[in-house]
Amino acid sequence: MSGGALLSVEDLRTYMRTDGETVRAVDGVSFAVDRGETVCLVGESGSGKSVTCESLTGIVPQPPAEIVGGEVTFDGVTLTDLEEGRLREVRGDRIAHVFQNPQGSLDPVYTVGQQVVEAITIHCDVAGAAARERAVELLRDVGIPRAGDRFDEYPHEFSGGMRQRVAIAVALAADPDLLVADEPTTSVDVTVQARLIELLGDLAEEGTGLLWVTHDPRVVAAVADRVLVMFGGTIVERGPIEEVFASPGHPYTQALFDSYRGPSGSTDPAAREDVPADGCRFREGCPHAVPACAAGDQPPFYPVDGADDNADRADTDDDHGDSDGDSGDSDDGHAASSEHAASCVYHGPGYDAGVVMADARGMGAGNERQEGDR
Amino acid sequence: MTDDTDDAGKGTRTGGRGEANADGEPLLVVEDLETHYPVTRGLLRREVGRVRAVDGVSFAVDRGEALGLVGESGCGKTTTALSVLHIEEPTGGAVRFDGRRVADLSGADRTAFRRRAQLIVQDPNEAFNPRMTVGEAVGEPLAVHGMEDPERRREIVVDILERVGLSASAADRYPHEFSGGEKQRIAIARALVLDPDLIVADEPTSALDGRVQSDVLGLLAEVRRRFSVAVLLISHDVDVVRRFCDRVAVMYLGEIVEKGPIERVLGEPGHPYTRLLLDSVPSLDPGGSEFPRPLSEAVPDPADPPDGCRFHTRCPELIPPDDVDLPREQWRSIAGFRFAVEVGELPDGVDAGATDARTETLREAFGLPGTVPDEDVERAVADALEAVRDGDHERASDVLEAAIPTVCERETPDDTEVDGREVGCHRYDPAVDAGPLVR
Repeated sequence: MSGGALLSVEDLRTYMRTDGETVRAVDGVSFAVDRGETVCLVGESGSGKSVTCESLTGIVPQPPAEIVGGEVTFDGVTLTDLEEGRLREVRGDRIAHVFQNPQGSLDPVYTVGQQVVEAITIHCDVAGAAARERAVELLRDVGIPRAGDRFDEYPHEFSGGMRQRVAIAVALAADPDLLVADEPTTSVDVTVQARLIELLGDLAEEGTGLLWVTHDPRVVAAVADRVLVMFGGTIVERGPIEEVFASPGHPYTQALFDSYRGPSGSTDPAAREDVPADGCRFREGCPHAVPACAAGDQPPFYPVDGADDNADRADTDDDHGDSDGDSGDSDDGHAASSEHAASCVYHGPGYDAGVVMADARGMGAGNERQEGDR
Repeated sequence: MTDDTDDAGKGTRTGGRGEANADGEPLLVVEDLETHYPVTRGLLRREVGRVRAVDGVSFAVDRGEALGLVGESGCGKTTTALSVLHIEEPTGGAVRFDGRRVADLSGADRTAFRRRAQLIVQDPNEAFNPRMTVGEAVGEPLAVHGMEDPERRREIVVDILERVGLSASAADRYPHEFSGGEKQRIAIARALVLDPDLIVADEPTSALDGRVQSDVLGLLAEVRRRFSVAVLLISHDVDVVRRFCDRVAVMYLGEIVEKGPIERVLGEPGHPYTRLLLDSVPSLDPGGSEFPRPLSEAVPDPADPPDGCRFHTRCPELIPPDDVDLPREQWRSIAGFRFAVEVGELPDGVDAGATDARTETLREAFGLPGTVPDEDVERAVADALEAVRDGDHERASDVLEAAIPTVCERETPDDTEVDGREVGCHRYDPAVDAGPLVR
């Protein structure tokens, strides 16, 4: 993995244990976020994207969750080894979270100003008038009009979009290096969403790393430098935004994109598939599934498309991922973590990638909303 | 379906708009619908104001047709849906269903209306009694409407569950055993079980995402086609409406500002608000999103909506006075200045004790030109800037209001027919000297 990355996650596994049943909510996820970079984690509800975020700084409720494996490294420090006290310093100081629902993160009995001041005094060495001044400045930075006047108002006096801005101001109080935003615009109107996208985009410009979770590919297109597509607790495709959107290589990514295009391409009204706990998690819903898809932990990442992928394939000594276990354990064994790659056997040796790529309809200009062009 | 034998397909729309015509009146006709909520104060609950949640809304839905009602939160779209069904009693206007005023229906007729017009709500988790099996929940409306025979009910329930993509065994399970998408299928099954002519679906897919959202929309489309049932779809997401509906009505602050066929309204929006709404949705083209900015961000209070066109305080296409001829960008910055001061959305650094600031700095902060080429306007802007510097925002706002009066504030625009859509904007008023919306 890129040594200089701000955040790097290796083979993270978080399982949920309930009633004697274990759900592999996050099952072998690896990625990195650099300074000033916006990485989007996209997937449907239940894909494990929120649990991934909450596992980074250990805020996922344990139990029922248990982080059973993997390593999270932030600015050279291995978070997964830290004790709770040290971890709490990192959380808030260096890594801040913003959630979907601002009502949940703001306390209704304190004024918004008090809440920003509280965050400042906890994480920085200022108090009193200086903290208040800094709080007003923060509120103004996130676009609260008349921040000085509104400092003494309570969260309920703010609109949903303004409340989310306050939550962002609280998150920014300690000037974090990494902001983890879990569906930050999902509960606000589109006109407000546009402002929040601009606001968080400015932060990234200034060097803050951004891990942005969303289910909406439209938001991904607007904010991401790189994208990670999640399904069933695993990352199934990753790469630079332009490449993934232009030629989605994993059948799941293709299905997800298609669902934003037509009035349901699927004529099968049946409920969605059960997700298996090994191999390719999408195989039950995949039109191209072959027996090899069930092998191992997860198919290795192979480069998608690209003129030079033959060379890459030639030096892979591991064959089609049926070597059970070990190939799946190292997700990045086959494609560099920054390039466009899919965890799908069809992009590996011995298969014709053309079979799945025939369904790859890009999301960019010109491809948008052309129904029936297959 | 019931007694209607005509092929209620997409093609049977009455004259574009579907307003009430003599004979083939559409299935649902809504005229000047008003639902106001009183704002009361004190022990005697004296009325001190009214929230005009729905304020004079008219539209029609034909048999088998899908009409989308789109707008931001608080615009009154859900209240409209509930008022159409008389779940919320409207305070004015009329709802006619199959030629008869719903308000006048009583007894068996009212029951028949309740059977023929069904509601699907946004959150499937709140739509079911957790103690009832799915079979009981879906069969309940049948029992309520007089089907006594449990065997018969069961037969119909199983059939309808299979039609929405669930198995017969689902009937004996409880709602919590199902996922969100499955629950919404059950909600659709329950709406369908009485063989309705109209389904009012309030954000039916907002709690769902990705493929499940697409599946449920697909199911609704299939249901609509197979049972030729009309759908009034309420949504905040223009893309959902685009994918599902034949026609769309766009709401802002209790009013419909534009309505017409999907491809016209969403393809070439005629109203500046429709355009703002559309352009605020990020494009699927990576890196291609540039978002428009309204003059001011805040949506006004529906208890005290702005005069004239309700969108004028935010409208980037605000019409300048006849005698003011300024480049578009300059006019926009001045209009933006006025409403920023009026609603208190002052830019960085202006609000916190700006008394020592120079007006030049303020000018820059508001994005105003160095000097405005129009003498009168320039004088007003300079005056207003001084007032802002002195902290007297009210005076600043008065000065600007007097110097740049706009027809958008003075008069309420009439709905004008523009290329097959109906738009409520002064830009299409022949009496107003302003061109139509340009890109």
